[in-house]
Amino acid sequence: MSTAKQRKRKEHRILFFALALVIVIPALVMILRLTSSSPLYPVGESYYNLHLVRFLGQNPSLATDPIQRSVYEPNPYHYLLTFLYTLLPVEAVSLFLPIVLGLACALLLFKLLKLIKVKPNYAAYSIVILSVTPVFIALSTGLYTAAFTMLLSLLATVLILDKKMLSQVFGALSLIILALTSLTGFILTIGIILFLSLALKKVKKTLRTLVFSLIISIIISIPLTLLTNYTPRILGFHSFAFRNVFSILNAEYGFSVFLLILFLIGFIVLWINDKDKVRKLFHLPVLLLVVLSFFNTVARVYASFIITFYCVVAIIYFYKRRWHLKIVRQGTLLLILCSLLFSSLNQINLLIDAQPDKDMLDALLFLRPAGSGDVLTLEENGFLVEFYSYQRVLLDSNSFLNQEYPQMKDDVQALFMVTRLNDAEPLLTKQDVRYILITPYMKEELWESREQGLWFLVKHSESFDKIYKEAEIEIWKYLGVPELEG
Amino acid sequence: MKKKKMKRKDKEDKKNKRNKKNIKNNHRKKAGKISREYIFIILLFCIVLGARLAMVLSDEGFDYNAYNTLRQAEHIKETGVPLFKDPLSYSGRTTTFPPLFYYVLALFSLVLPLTLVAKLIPSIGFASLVLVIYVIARYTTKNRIAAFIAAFFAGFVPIIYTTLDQASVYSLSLPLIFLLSYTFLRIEEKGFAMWSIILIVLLLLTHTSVFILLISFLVYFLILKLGRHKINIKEVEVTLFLLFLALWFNLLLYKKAFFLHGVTFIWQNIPAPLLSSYFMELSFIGVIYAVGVIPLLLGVYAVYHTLFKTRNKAASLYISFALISFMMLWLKLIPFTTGLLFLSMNLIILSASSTKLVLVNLSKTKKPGLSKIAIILIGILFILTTITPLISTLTLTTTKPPAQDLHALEWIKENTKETDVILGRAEEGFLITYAAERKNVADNNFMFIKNINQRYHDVNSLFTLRLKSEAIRLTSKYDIDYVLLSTKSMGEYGINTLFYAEEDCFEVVYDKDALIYEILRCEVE
Repeated sequence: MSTAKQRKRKEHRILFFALALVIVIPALVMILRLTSSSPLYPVGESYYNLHLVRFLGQNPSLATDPIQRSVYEPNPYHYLLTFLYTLLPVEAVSLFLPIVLGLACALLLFKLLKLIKVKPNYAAYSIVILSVTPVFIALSTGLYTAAFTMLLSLLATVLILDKKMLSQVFGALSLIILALTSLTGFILTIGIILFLSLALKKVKKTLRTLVFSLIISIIISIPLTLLTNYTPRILGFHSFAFRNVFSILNAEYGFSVFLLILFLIGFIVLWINDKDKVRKLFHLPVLLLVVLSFFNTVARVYASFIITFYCVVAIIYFYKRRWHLKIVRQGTLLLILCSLLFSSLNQINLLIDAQPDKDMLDALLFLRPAGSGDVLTLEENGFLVEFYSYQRVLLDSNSFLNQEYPQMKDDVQALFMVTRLNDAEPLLTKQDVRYILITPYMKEELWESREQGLWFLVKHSESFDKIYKEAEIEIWKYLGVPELEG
Repeated sequence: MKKKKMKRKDKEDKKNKRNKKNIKNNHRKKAGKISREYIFIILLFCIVLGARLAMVLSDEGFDYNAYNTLRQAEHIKETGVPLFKDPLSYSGRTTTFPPLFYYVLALFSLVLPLTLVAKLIPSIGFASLVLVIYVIARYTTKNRIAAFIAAFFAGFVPIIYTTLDQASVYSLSLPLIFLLSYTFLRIEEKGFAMWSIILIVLLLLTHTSVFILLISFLVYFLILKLGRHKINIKEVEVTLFLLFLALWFNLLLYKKAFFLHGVTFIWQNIPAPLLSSYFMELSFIGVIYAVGVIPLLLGVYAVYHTLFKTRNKAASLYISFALISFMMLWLKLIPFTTGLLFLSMNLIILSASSTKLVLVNLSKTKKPGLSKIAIILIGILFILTTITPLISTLTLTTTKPPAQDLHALEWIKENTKETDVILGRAEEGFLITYAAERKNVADNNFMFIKNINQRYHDVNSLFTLRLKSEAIRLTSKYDIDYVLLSTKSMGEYGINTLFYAEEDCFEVVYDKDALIYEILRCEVE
């Protein structure tokens, strides 16, 4: 009895430690960003969501993005954010919401692992691994739809796999909201629930709930599609590139190389040690998901959560097995620890150093009252300009949804490389460019820190006026187009 | 009774004495055999070393790439740390590399001149392969003669002589890699596990080629599994340790390079026009030329024999090592010469198994003396088939800078400012930084350089351009102060002078075989 109690206490201790990590790591990133006078969130989707919250608060039935003048597709996450921002203090929501979402995801993953009969200490250790996963750290330090998708997905899975009727109803509700948030996430979740219910031999019950939520989702999405700009789309697919997959190469939602190796070892250990041939097959879909995750961002987020369990299996296997060479055992375990530390520190470092910093913020705020006009800058800076400067940009990270995207991208690329005014003018006029925002990163990446391309042109042409230069950030105004009023 | 007892005692004493004598004699005989074995192999080592040194020391100078090694070693000698932040290369850049080889050279340069050390240590390193291969072949075949023949092959295989003037890092990494494979095979025995760990650490600090061995270990386990051999758990443990340590260390070391170049990091960011000369198409003739016909045939036969007949565990490791070297060569994932170095050494180790097979089978015939003839025949055939490739290797692979070019660089060192940037071909970059101690525009270390293709193209264009305005634009782009038109560059581009070099903008300041132009800052309308 006492040993059972002790075991339970130990499990609670591990879980407490894991949850502390889940809170501390993202909080650390945010605090370090704030102490360096940088805005709270790293560049990316967070600013798009915040930008929309501003307008959804004024007009909940928003149809077009007032700044970007692009079609707005309603998303439950934006409405949740709007609701929270109107209800609670802005600072509190900004600071705590990503952490709370991360914490909820971690707890739900723990619950799910226990539900599928994973030993409680393995489940708790999985949360420890999750807390140092690059994807999790990234998701818990900003306002990302993927984090909300993951939360809904885990919630739906846990509730639908539960025996109680009420839980199943709430599970179905979560699935429906998920369908409206991310169709890719919805499909993946249905697949996961089906697979888990098959493994737990609960197919009949869950199938009923799944079919019900599927029908309701379709019923809701038809009028939504007809009446609003909502378009059901399976997003997140991209061609395979190491840059998209590994966090070390600065992938947005990337795997840690070490965690992937640990996953493979854990997978092999489970495969070899499982004597039941049928049960063995249940590990195969996980491998398929990992393969799919090399080509899809949403699948990568899901895979990052799932592989934590396999990593734990691998680490515990290394820890518990009888090593013939003690020094190698200690060395290997130490290296695993170092590698986990390395991958999480690498991600933390990337997030702390990510734009916008104070200098960028100053430049963006300077652009706000400068008079309206389209801004030419890097695609990844698009959301920042829209949020802080209230200006329209040529390209942002959502522009790929537009039909003219390939042409616009070609034009922007051509503009960055152009050195003759005669070549630049038609493109500037065609794209209606008024301002050019040049950052140190652009100088380094596009022009190798040498005055060439558009940087050379703006410096040596009278058609451009430098209106801002601080800390190597330059804003140029194109004088070729007559000033617009209002 | 007493007499009888005495007699018996005497007899026993005599017997004991005889036994002791026999044991002593046996020991002496054994010692004689061991020492003879050692004498032969050390003699072979000395011959190989002597041959290498005779060739290396016969004339001064190094391969173009070796000047980077010299500079690194010199810097370590002076400051204790390698040149990770190089102010001269690419007019200032940061780079990372495992520095052990440079430290070894710097250490020996404390007692001998660096230029001598840079010839001596690599020669000793490559010659030591004879000893390493002998030890491995002896262990895998348990046959002294077969092992000695393999060591002989290793000493004179043509590909080894492509490295003569290079002060190559492989002179340290190759013996270390093969020693590691040897300690790995004997890991069950006392002390070998510790040696494996020490060698792993040394290898990681020397070169990234440890990954080839790591993949080979994985293939080796696969071969063992397929052959239903029992996998040694200690071998698995060491492999796991190596996997994590190698990954962790290299990710730490090359994090920025991964970040910058992505997966093209494997090809060392080599410019596209040069890529085909580093990562060449694998041809059968090329392999024969580099490895030699006899080691190749014997090695290939050993692969067949091991996989389908004997299933020798130790040989399986070298089969997987050879297989991985071959695959990487074929897929162009490894520089051609490096790949051939690995492939040839593995085939030579494997060839010992075939040689042993020939010798054992011949000794079982009615004329056991045939085995001696076979040894001589193998030796003669090896010499006959490698002599031509060896000579062509020795004559064709000399990529040393001519003395005239070195004089020109000496002039630059004495007559230009320390901050001046000198344009030379990328191949001459290391030489410019070492001999002239001036900034270059490009050299053969392409890692961490952005838009390398553009830069490489610009450097080459500056030797072949006809348009003055474009030349001025490029010289100002890279802040070039002097252009070195070496005799080698003249031959390379088929020119005697720069076409665009008109007196108003380009002044010839040195004209003795090689030419040096000073860039006069003039505006182009």
